[in-house]
Amino acid sequence: MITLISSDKRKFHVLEEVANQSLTIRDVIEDRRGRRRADRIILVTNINSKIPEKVIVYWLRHFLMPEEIAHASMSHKKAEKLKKWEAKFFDTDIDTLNDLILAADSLDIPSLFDGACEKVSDILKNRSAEEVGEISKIENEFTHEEEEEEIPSENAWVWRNEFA
Amino acid sequence: MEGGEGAEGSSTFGRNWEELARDALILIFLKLGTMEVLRAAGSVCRSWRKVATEEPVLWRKINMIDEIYGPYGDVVFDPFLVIDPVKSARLAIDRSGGQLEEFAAAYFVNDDLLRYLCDRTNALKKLVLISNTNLSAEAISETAKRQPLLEEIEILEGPFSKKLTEIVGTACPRLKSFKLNNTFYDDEEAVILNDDEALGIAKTMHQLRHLELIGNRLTNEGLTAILDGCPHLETLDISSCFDVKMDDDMDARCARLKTVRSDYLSDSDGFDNDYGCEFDPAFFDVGDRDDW
Repeated sequence: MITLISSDKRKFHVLEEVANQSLTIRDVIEDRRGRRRADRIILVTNINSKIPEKVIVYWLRHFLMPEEIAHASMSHKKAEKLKKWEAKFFDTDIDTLNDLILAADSLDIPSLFDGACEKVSDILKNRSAEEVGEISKIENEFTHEEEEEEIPSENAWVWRNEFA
Repeated sequence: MEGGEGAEGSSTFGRNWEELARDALILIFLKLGTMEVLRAAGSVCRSWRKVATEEPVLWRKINMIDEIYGPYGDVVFDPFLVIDPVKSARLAIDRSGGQLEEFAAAYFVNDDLLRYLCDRTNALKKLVLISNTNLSAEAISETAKRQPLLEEIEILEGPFSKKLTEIVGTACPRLKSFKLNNTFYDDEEAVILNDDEALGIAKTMHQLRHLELIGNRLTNEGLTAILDGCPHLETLDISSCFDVKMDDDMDARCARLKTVRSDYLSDSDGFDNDYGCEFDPAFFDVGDRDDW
């Protein structure tokens, strides 16, 4: 059993085999093997407590079928079920997704990283720059001129010139 | 890191999207696709734009078909779409920093744009040109000559030229997949041409694995030449090639291929009926006649 401590000082006890899904944690455990018990405590800075909860849920779901995922030998039905579960898991607000990406990045969990990025791109798809800015709460810091030079736009329907 | 007070306090981390890990942003942009990044995501803020403009890996595959034109190449009217496609394509090519590997576009490609592309990269592996009426056969030949690494070429409703396939085949020895498809059967030029294209393929594209010649006017002679000239051929699609007769002899020649698609109909085609297609009488069986 190892203990993860989030940035807001909450503790999470996880089975080592489960936490091993994070390549970062696996390396840390490997490094500290055979040492004192206190070394089984891992500080997960820069992640607030809401995220470890989600990450651990994700780990547990994937822990149930690790070999099958690795060998891509999952039955169709199981794969479908996992896909459904993942869709539900990632169906959350964009800030949580952002946190998940950051967590997956620092803890090195490739499948979680991929899944969260995919969901974010789904959310941002088919939106204008302003909408994307609104969703991701980024303020538009460009001056009008800067924007003009970037986007090769013509204030007319694209094909007007072609067929005129 | 200021330790947050419990779960209810807004987190001190992760609210800042601009700081999002570079790898994550690259992955998100890749999943969004070329046009989305050009049109919107790449101009949301400075750090996002920095990633969009300074990461050639994002622009290795430029696909301007699905994003603008929908999955079937039909022009989708998009209220956001006030983008000049040629300028966008040039911008995307610029950003690829010479690493462009795939270029796919429909309708708007002209000779100038292909020249622009060739001036900036020579590592192209895949080229897809759909219904580009402003394009000349010379421009395609020229592109092939300047992109010797090309492995896949797809041209739908492209310009005609007797020598095109031969020039392309000679210029691109690595060509594994070649598609030269047409849907206008009664095109005057297409009628005049017969086996020229097929013979050009047979003469030069010896490494070919996949070939599509939909709506081509080749004959059995041309097809025989292709089968002899392309020993590695695995899949062949000659749908709507009405001058090819798939007789027993031709069937035998094609037997070594994995898949052959042809809509030539004959008695020996495996359909044991007069309908020319797989007809299952049970499908039309309305059950007990007494019900009527």
